[in-house]
Amino acid sequence: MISELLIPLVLVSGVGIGLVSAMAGVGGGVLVIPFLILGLGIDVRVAVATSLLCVVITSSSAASVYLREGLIDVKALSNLEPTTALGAVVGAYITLTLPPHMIKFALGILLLYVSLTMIKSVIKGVGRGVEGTYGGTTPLRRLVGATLSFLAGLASGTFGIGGGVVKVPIMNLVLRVPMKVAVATSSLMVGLTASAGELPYLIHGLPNPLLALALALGIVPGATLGAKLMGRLRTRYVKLIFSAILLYVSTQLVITSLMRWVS
Amino acid sequence: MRAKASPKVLRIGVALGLVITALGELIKYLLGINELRITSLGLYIIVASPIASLITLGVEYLRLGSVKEALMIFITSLVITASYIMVLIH
Repeated sequence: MISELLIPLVLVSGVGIGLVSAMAGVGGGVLVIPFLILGLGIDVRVAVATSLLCVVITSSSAASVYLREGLIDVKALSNLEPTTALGAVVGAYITLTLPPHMIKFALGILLLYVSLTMIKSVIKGVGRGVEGTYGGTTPLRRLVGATLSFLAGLASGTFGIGGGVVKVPIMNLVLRVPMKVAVATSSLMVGLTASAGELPYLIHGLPNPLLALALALGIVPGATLGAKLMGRLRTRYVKLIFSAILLYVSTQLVITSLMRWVS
Repeated sequence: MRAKASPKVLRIGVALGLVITALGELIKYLLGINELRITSLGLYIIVASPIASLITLGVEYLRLGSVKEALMIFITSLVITASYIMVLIH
């Protein structure tokens, strides 16, 4: 258990996480998890459960805006979400079954991959996506999308991340959904996936509600501010700084889990 | 055609869940107890909110006469709810 005195610090950290994540164009989960594990030193399972709860809360603010604007693509959602939710439930049971240091190691590898991919995209200047036309979807593409989505859900339930970073490219590149619609649909899907993945943890009484509340209350205004600042700052440098932070925390996760493995 | 759904269910659901959870945590802190069912109730409400909003989106499509889209949403909701029930039974 962490002290209640740390809650203001968690709230402020949530603002920082929301700010940086929004400017880097990713969800907060990839920073929340290392913050909980390395920063506060809490158990991996509690961290994953708390992060997923946080994802459900924070995604609802973006999803409610897109719901009102009518930007949710029902076909893409119906195609991808059942397998994603199933993947999240399976992922949650994997985390509940495997030893914590193994999860920590796998998380470190995943974050290492995300940071290196981000550095590569910043250097090469790629990642704009395609302007979908809704004309190129075939049964094979839908099958590929659903299969890849299962993996996105698996990552979400196992590591406590939203998985939007995987879902948006699947919708945009595989299902040919326009980028703006893909982002909107993903915001609702992230909440649905996180809620499916959260349930097994909730039954085991793992999430820390106070931490999730404090983080979410910080992340929402932080992300709003980050989105506003994005137009004024050079996102290239923000992404590079974000990648460097991620590279550092992923290395820390890999090293600490390997040390635990050896000892 | 895409329906515009009211985000009230999602917003109210999450907000209600947050208030109940915060209230539960406050009671736990004041009374110095470790377990309180009201906190879990709040968390379950938060977790159920996204699926509830998806169902309202389906209802909105149905109201607009887009039966195909509404059916797609209801089947998706049904599959997700089935996974919830599987977890609860397990």
